[in-house]
Amino acid sequence: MPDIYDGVRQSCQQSWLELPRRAPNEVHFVISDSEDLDRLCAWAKQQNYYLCTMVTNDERALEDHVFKLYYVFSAPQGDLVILEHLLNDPKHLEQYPSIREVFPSVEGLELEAYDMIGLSPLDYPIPHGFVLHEPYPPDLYPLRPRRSPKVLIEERIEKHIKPPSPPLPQLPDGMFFLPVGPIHAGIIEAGHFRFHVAGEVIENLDIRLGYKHRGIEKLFQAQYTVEKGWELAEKVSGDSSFAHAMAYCQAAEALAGIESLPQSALYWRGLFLELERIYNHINDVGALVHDMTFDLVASEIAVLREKMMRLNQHLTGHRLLRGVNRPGGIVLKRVPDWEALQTEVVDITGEFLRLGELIMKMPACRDRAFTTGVMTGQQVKKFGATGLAARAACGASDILGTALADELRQHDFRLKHPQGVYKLHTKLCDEIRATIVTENTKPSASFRRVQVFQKDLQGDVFARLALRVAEVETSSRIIQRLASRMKKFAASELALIEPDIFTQALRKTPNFEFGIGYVEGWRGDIFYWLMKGPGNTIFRCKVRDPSLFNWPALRLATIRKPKLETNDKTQSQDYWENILADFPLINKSFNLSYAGHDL
Amino acid sequence: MRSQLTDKTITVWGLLRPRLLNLLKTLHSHGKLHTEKPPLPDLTAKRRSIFIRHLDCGSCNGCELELNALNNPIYDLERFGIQFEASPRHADVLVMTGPFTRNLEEAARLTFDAMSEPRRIVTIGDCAKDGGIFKDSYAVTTRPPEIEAVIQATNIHVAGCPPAPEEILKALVKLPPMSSA
Repeated sequence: MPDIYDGVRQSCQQSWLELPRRAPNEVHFVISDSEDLDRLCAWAKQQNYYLCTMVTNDERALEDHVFKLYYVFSAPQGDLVILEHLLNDPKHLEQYPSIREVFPSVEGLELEAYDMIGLSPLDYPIPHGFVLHEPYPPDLYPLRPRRSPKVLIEERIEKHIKPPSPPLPQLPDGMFFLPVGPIHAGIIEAGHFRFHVAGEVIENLDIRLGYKHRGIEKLFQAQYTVEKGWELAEKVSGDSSFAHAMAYCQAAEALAGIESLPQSALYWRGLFLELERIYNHINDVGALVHDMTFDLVASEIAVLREKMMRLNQHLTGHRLLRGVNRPGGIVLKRVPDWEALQTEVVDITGEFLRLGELIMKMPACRDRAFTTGVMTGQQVKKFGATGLAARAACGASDILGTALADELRQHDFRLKHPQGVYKLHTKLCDEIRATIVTENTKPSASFRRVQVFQKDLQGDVFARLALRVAEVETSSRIIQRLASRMKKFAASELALIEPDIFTQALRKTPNFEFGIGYVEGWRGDIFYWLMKGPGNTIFRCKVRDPSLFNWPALRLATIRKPKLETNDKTQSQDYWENILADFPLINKSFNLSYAGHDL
Repeated sequence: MRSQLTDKTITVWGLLRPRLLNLLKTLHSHGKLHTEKPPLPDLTAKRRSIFIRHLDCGSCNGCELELNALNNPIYDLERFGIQFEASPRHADVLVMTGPFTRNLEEAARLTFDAMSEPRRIVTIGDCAKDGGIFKDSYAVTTRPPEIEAVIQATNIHVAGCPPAPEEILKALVKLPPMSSA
């Protein structure tokens, strides 16, 4: 299999530069020519690379005096590839060569960057208003440091006169709009959906988010030091509090060059991450079942979820596992009774799996969930969907048996880029691999309670439901393994390395270095890109929640689309269709974060 | 059905008995002077029946998770006569979470305007108090005076990030009856 060096040699005709690796699996190239970058990205797409994030950074005050662009890719071989590109073309200092044709998932990042920092693609115009809506002047660009004082920004916002809303587009006869939101008829977050419907069939869907934009990336710059940033990170998205804080802390540790944490800290992080996965999966399965009007089971599942939350409270003092992560380790007030913890988790998940099996066999559920909200394998690849949504399409009939299907099945950062406890114990990775039963699965995995076969994961609501149930079992088994090993740690052994050590290590780090942190949260991979400024301040912190990539996927799963993508217009086509009543199910099966998307 | 009708236990007396008893009761009560008022049904629970509308003003979803937990069988909000509504037009109380972002300002105002009076606003979570850790962000703004006035008048805030469901529950149950507003 060709690696990135082959790709760079093949694609780059102009000069390129490899910078020293900060971590064993991080490769960092500076690509100066935009055409080289294009070719390299096209090559990467062919090799099933996955775009992790695009960071736009205002480095005009630094030594290069330009805006810079960092693309981060995840390679199937386990490397993280960072491509750095300087926007030093004097004619286009604030424009960059877009890779959207090759990686359409970059769209959200591009739109966000245009609002926040004012950089736009060279090749085509893009609109303002992705996260900064009408109340903001279009050229506010809050992430440009020279306009940092809050008073200045607010003055400009106050002066700005809100433009009238644009007129609605014309629809063909017989079709109509169904607007929903931004305030929804339930206890959920704010976002606007506009369905284009013909009868009951959803022909198209416009999603407008950004209502919950809280200026998190600016707050990181303006108010936080690298040591303290975890406080804000865990408030990016409430249900992924721990995963976000962990990704932030790992970025901070990578930045400070701390290579080894105390072993117990790694164990704790693994344990809490899996606890978070379990309570969210239980919650979402309950919500799905509630929408299928199977309320008896939904109530039982709600009780199980509450038990998980109380377990969290008991372990960490916070129901959402907040306040335990620090750069350098974990802070805990007490060490639990391991036997009790193990029994509790086994009891809760065992009961949940029993209910999960029941749901998966229930005809009413199968009737509603099969072929609803289908996302084909090719679409997942094309639009860069990630996390659970991507894994749930690994058995789609259009890709089954190809390398892409294997790639999607293992599209899990715990497997692709194992760190921490997943790196220490390969057994844990085996557990994760056994979640989805394939033809080659070893018989050792057969004593799992829930068996989900790869060929059944067709990217529909049922696939996501079944995968959630299976992942709860995996997480439960991982927790059993972790807990039985953690018994051996002495109770006095605090997992935190001395904060001084972290601060000292950070002080030795030159300014304007950056670190990368990534975590497979329950929705998918969470990515942090953290650059240090003078005096331990944060120069830039780019947060990328998996929801950013999965919202377009949700739209795609909802709208009417041909079952097979062909260019032959003469042939009559079969279509995947969803009706309005399917949307709550599709939405819940993804359960994406609005807050994590809007930042 | 048929077997029941022909059952031996149904006799003429059996059919007549309840009617006779009723007749006797009526005669009895008519023949007597009411010396005391019949006891009123306990209305306190009914007067507390409150319809709530949730309004997210930019929270992190933590408060929503805990609000959702109120509906589970453990906290079971509806046993207190309190329930969440799908429309602000049906709601007595608005439950606000989050620091009040600029992008949601208009939608929040429209939601508030859609409520009929008397209305109340309960704020939940540290962000909803004063913006919390998002206080100094350019994206967070002050609430319109008419909303702020109702918040002040209601004067119920549940602190916490997010507050535990029992804290929210305690605050909601303590809400005075709407008629006194």
